[in-house]
Amino acid sequence: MTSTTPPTDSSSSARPAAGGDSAPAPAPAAGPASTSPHAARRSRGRVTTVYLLTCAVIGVAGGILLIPANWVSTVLFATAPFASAVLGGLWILPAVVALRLLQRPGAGLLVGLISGLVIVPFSGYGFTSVLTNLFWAFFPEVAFLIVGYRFWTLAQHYAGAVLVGVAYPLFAWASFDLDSFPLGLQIAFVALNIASGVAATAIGLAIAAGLRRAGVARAAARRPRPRVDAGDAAAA
Amino acid sequence: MSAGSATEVGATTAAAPATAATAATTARFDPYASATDVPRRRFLHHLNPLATVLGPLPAMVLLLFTRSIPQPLAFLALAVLLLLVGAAVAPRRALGLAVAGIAMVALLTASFGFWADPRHAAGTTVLLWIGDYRLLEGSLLTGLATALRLTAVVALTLIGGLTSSGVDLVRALVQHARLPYRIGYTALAAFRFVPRFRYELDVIRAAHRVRGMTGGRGPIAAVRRQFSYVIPLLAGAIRHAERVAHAMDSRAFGAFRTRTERHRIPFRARDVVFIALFWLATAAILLLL
Repeated sequence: MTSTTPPTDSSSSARPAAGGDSAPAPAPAAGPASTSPHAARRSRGRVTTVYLLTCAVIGVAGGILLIPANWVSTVLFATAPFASAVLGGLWILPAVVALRLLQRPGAGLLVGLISGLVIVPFSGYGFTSVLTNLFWAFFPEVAFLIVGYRFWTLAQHYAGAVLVGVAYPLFAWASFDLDSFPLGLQIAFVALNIASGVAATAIGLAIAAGLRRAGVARAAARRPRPRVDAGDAAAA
Repeated sequence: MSAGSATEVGATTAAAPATAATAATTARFDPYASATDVPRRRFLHHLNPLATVLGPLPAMVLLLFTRSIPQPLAFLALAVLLLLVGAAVAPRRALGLAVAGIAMVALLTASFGFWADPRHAAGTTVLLWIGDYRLLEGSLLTGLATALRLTAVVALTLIGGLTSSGVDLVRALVQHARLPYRIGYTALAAFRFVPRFRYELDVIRAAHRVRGMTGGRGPIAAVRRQFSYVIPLLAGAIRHAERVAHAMDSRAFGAFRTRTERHRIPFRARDVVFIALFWLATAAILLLL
């Protein structure tokens, strides 16, 4: 996880807002552990609990989707290894939904982590599922990571899908033993992976658009402008 | 999302006073259960989850690069031996796993042997002629190597997967691997969201039915109906997550850099010994075979 996780600082909005009960001074009475040096960090890369739990719930939804997908993919892999590539895109779907809906750094990876943890008891692959899902979730995220999360365009989502379509076969070269296959099948495998990723991205974007229309996740989504923290402004 | 899978995931519901949710999800699978009642000789359950994950990790990575047959076979034997001795698995489940493992090796050998490029196995015995297709002994051996490799990797993951829960892994990561506890507790909360989806789905189905939104009969209508649940299901779940987040914030979750733990997952000398021995065994198998 990258810069998204200043670990323990509370956001000032998260602090019990009643005030008055413990803070005699008007200054933002920071928790005993968080003193002024952390204030700058906090306002820059703050992660709210709402953001964390929204990612968690998208991750869980993704996990519920991936439990059956995981078994179908395993059976396909065992019988016709190349057909399992068709399902590959499902593994980036939760990350795409989260990134499009929230447009916040780290949303894809966090969703990947959670969806991996959720399927651990059901996947049959143990904790490897966490690594698998993190691997897949990294690629939808990386198209935004390399621009420092400065802009969020549709093209970046699709670029991530193409990237994972190429990267997964390279990564899985060994486990599929792709060397032993004819060249035509190798190309078809990569093409299938890319197609699957692009299709899943399109579905994910549609789901995110539907959720936006429903008006959810406003609290966790990116603000149009960086929000001025009232507490920090008062302290300055 | 798929309705069928959510039913299997009955667990104790969150502290929310939703009585319907509690009724809908009987406690068949509790992700928070600790394995304290496992006998002591089943030692894998009494190790830190980090140890059972870190121990086999180098072997799993190295297995991806092997092409031989003896090495994956040795790792498979090691994993099965450890599971037989150190893991408390119900006999029926153990039998199921054994059958699944053998079936996996057989199936993967056949399918990877079938798909393999015959030019790589040129010069070996032809086992099967079907019209234009020839199955070579060399192809089948390549398939067997792949099958054993993948089965060995799965068996190695089961060392951690069968003996510890995701919840304990998260706790161990927070306590020993410097995972920020806000992330860790997000993951712990996530396990509670699983049964919540079942409840939300029931509500949405009832709401659709009461408004007559059946969309007709037949398989296509059924699939379309499933898809029509996705947005309301996710929207409801996200709203629930926001409520939980506000509840946590109002209780000053994350106010301090560190926090106390209710469940300690100790990292003891035996964990270090397990990891060291496993790494030694890995090195020995790689060097000797």
